[in-house]
Amino acid sequence: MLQVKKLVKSFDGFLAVNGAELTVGKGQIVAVIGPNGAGKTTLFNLITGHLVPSQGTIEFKERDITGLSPHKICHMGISRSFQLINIFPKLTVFENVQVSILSRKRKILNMFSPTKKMMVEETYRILGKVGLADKAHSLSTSLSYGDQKILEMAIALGNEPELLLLDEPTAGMSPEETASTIKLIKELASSEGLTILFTEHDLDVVFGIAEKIMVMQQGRTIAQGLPADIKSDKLVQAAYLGEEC
Amino acid sequence: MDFSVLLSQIPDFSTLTGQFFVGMSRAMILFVVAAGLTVVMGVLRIVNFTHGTFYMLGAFISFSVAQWFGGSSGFWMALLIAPLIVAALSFVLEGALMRRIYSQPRLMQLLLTYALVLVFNDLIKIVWGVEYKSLSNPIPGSISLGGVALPTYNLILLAAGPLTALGLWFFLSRTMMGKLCRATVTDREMVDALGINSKRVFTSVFILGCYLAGVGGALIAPTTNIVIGMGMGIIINAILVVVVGGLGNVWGALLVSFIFGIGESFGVLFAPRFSLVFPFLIAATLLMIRPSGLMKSVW
Amino acid sequence: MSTLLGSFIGTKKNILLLLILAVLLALFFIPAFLSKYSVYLLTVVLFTSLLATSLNISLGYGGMLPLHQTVFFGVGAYAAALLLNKSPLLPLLSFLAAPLVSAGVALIIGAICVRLRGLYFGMMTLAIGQLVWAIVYRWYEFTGGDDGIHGIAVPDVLHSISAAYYISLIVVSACLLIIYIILNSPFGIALQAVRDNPQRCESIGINIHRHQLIAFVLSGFFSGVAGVLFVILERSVSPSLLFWSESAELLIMVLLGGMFTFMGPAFGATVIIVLEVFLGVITEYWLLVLGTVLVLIILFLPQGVIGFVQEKISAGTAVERKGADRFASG
Repeated sequence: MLQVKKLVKSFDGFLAVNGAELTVGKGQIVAVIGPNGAGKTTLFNLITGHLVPSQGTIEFKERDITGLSPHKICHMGISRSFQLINIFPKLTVFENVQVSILSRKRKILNMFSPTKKMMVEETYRILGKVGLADKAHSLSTSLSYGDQKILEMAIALGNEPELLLLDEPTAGMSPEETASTIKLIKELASSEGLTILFTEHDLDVVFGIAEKIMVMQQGRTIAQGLPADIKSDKLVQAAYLGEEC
Repeated sequence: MDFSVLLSQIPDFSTLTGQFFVGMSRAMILFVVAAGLTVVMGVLRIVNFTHGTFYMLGAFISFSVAQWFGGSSGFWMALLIAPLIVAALSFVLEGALMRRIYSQPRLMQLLLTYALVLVFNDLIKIVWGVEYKSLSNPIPGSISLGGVALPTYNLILLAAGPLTALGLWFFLSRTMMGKLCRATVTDREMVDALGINSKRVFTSVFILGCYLAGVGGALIAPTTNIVIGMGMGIIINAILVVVVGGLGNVWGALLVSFIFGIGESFGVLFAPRFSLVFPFLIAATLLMIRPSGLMKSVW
Repeated sequence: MSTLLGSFIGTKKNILLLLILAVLLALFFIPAFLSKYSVYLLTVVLFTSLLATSLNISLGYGGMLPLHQTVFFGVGAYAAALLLNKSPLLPLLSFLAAPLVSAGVALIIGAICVRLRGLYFGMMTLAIGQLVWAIVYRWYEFTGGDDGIHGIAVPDVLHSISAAYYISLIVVSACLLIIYIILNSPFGIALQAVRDNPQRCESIGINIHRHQLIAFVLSGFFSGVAGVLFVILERSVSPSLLFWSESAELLIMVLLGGMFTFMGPAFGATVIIVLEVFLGVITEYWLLVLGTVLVLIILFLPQGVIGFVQEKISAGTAVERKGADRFASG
């Protein structure tokens, strides 16, 4: 479904991503791991169009999406959540998700219908699925940190993506929150038929849900394969697992 | 006969040179004012509409000082003293008001400085009245530059620009305070962490900037009518010079002042009535080509 | 007490509607009891309120920093004046076409500006706005230069002040209603989302530049409508309408009222105009008073008067203003 080939991104000569390779198949849950500064978030920003690659190509469903603007890539079926909380602070929880659905349905240029009555069912369906339905009318910033991370994911789901990118979905969460989030991600993948690509620091989480793992170091892909193979990979152990676990 | 009339309408070389120097003299005053503004905007990060008011105050105070001393030395005393009075005033203003808004949203900063413009406009009206004031030219006469007569006083203006640029360059790169300014621009927390009082740096920079605005006002005083609206007129041009040149970049401000000067002096020849249009046309065009300024901005 | 008032306003929507109706009725009948000059002032208040609200589409709701909004007001006024005086168009068509000219100018300026962020956006609007001013100021053959245009051929039926008043009342009410509907439509909600978090908007598929450009053009259009009303009332225009200080005063009105509320800008416009009239009688230095009041408000009530009252009312529900702050400092 997603093919990243020889991707390079340099910032004023600094190579944040330098030869990343990634293949994601339909319906897979794939993790990208690597030490801090390995270029995981940059890779995500390149895939979603927030950054333009210096070299290399990105293909999605056999179409070249390299260098397209973020909103176009989004309408092709890729949606994402962010590492740091990135929601609409002055809108309610409900509106946060509603905007996303309206955008997906290409209704945001409608100037004359009251928003209140639009996409109500769809919004509640998603809020119900992630467990935020009872907080629908609170201001988004009044949610707890963990709930804001979930809302972050719900906004991405509002786009009805085929490929969902999650940047550190459990970062900063308590162990209980992390556990329920993992469960949620698994459920989403099976019930919605989503393909999920995520980055994560917590290796327990990674090996708990990932069906495939890609390891980055200094912008380069050093290994890609099944969790079991990754665990036994010498290069990976030396570069990453050895020092951090 | 007709032929010679026609010919005289085509700008010849000497008119061009003449226009060039007249345009440049104005451009250099604009630079002196803009240089002060760019330092303030660069270090303090506020868009200061009051800067134009300080320029206007410089002119009004020059008038009073020159009158008080009288005679031919009056203007020179004014050039010396008026900017200092402006600087002293800015010191008070910074302590009382400006420092409260450094961390406020930008729109609030714009508004506060604009509110001060309104306040000062009326205060000037109260102190100096509504009639325009004028100062006699301290160096009457003109000199011949390649066959063109140029008021001798304009030489002072032409010299003022480069002198200000050199002075600022010396201050920013050779003095301790200048180095602190640049350090504060790059990393304010670091400067604070080193135990240096960044508040004092801010105050000094604000005073320096306003001093330059006062100098600009004193310099223009003998060449024009001193009126209430003159601050409003120059501030937009000065802000555009700063933004187009790159916020906080003195050399950028000098470059853009040059461009404005050239544009205006030649624009006058070809479309005299639209000379007013050129600075804005130039600024908009340059901003379109390089949205963050011609030279490196510190923002 | 304050929370009680909050829930009262929040839940009893009908009461609010009745209140609006009452105000409209009062505005409809009040000219009978007022002097000509007061009706004239009310008309000024009406179109200035529209102008301030139109600015707020791009400022408060769109998160842009248009530092020179009155250009669109001035262009609308000049377009109406020139069309009435120099074109064979019927007066009604001239009135309808003038705001479209403003919208066209806004489209051009907006297309150049929307890619710029924050202050650079503001500076670009200022530069181009002043460019338009300078052209109008000097193009004697077409715009009358610094003399302006006098004796504009407004149809005779609109010559009385009360006619201008009622036209303004109808047009301004209709425009405010339309703006309200737009701001609460999906377009409006998305616009606020763009203001609060442009990056997130891109990644949920919103074309932020296009969205802001449309908002900017709408804002220019409604400013143009206000310009037409100005022409109906005054029957003359001058280039000072397009000078930057007019825009600065408009910004004062919007910020005084509060830019994150719908009625705030109109309220701010009303207060400033009333203040100008009453203080103007007492002292010729009314700007000194205004400036001083402003300084005090900025130092002590930075969220604007209406914003302040609203915050007090909703203190119980603790409205977070993070988004607003982030935008305004950006």
